[in-house]
Amino acid sequence: MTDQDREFVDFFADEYWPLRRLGFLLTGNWHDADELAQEAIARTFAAWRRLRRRDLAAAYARKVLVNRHRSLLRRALVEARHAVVHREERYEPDLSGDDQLLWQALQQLPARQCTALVLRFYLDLPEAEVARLLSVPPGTVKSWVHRGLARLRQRLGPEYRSEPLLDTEASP
Amino acid sequence: MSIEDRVRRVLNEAVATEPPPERSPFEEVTRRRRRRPLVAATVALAILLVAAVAFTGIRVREERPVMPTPTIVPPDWKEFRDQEANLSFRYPPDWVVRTDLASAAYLVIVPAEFRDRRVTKSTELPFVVGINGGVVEGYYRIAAGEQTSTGRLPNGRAYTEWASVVNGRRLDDYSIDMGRVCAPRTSQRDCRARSASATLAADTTALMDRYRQVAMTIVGTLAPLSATKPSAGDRTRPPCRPDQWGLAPSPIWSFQGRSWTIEGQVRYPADGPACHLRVTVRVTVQRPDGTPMAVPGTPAPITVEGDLPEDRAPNGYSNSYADVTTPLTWRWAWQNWCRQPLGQTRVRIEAVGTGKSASELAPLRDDYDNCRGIGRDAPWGISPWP
Repeated sequence: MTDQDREFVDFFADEYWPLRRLGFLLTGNWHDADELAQEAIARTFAAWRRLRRRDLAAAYARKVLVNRHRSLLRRALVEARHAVVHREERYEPDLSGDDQLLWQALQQLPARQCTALVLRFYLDLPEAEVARLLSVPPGTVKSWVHRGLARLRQRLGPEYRSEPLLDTEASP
Repeated sequence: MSIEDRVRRVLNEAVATEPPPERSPFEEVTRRRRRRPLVAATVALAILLVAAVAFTGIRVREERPVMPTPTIVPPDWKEFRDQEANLSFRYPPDWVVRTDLASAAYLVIVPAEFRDRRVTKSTELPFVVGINGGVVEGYYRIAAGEQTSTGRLPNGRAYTEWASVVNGRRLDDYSIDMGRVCAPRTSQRDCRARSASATLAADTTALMDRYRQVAMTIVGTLAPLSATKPSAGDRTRPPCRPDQWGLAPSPIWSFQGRSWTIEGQVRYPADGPACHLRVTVRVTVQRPDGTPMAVPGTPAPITVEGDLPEDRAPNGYSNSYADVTTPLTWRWAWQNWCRQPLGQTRVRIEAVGTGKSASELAPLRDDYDNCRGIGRDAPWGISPWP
């Protein structure tokens, strides 16, 4: 086994499962999550020699995964216009009543709002890092997060609607 | 607990019980790593094969009889009228209009050859013309494609057109300007620009070739049932003052990573007075410190014209893809943007003579498949799109 192969095995062991979980939160589907995580790992390793700082490999893999997810979404948008809609089997996580409602509401958000919320609150990335990952200005991320949370509040009922809103005029 | 904390908790709990993968992920990833040279060889072989087939196809097509093409609409063609959609069109007497098929279109027009086939989906028919339109659609669309073109139908209506292949089916989409339709029983000023769309869908190139011109004659007859006003708006309205409106850029978005689209609309307060706006916008590219970069094609001026408030950017516009448009939408394409690494750049949009401007960060070059193989000679620059 070469040094590069060893590095690859280590990288896979460390990063595959977190990437898979991120893929699930973006797609709501473990099959797609596996696809995205595998592609992200394979592409990251293809770029291994170009990655001057190996500690940035995980961030690079996340970016590949998020970009791959976005291009799949675009393709799906085009195909959906011409295809008969079919239902997919979806995996529902084991959540209690209100949490299940929140999960479903998250899944129904526009893709970019959902992605921003997952990166912001699951990975706990700062807005600037989310913006870099999504190749948009930080103001846009702020706007997506704000709108995403506002929609979730609407779904959760009056208890949450009374919360103060973030900067409501945030826009790119 | 705040909403942010609840989102955190739900996201973590959603992945707490993780099912095992169907196959060994390590083996799958290893296979993907090995597959790349094989994929390259397969792609090269496919290109050779396609070239050979195309060459043969061209030779065969020269001998293939093509259906006679009517240059004007024959008098015996039937007329379809839909009051609700405010839409009419004409079609050959032996074709049929079907509204009972599962389809992305609200109705499909089927050639005589396939009219008696018992099917439930439009995709099961080898060739159809699908129609959507009238008051149900927004202003005309620009959809996924670098190959979008524009033109005018014989009846003078402007259109955008793009071709694609989806699940092996050849599609030729037209989005057609139908003028302004005023909403009944609402404010008199609510007259929005509308479009109709037509999709020519064929299983094979030969079928597309055979039916294209008859289908295009049908498409050329698409018209609103009642007269509509020009999409450019009402020029008798007072001109919009600069303090009444603003620039609403959308995040720069890509088509398959290779070309980037820079898009924007006009922001307008919901309760502003009605007015007419004609404005020219220009685009420049800058480094983060504000120094301009020489990008071919810039400033690529575009003039847009429309009415406010009807044509303002919809709420949540910055979250939208290009499907949301009005006559006050502008777009540029940055073709082959990733041909060369640029570092961080900023795209600045300026409304000429108004002092208004807005800027967006351009994307950074990334690991996009379509960036690979773009040679230094590939055309690179910004131009109005389409």
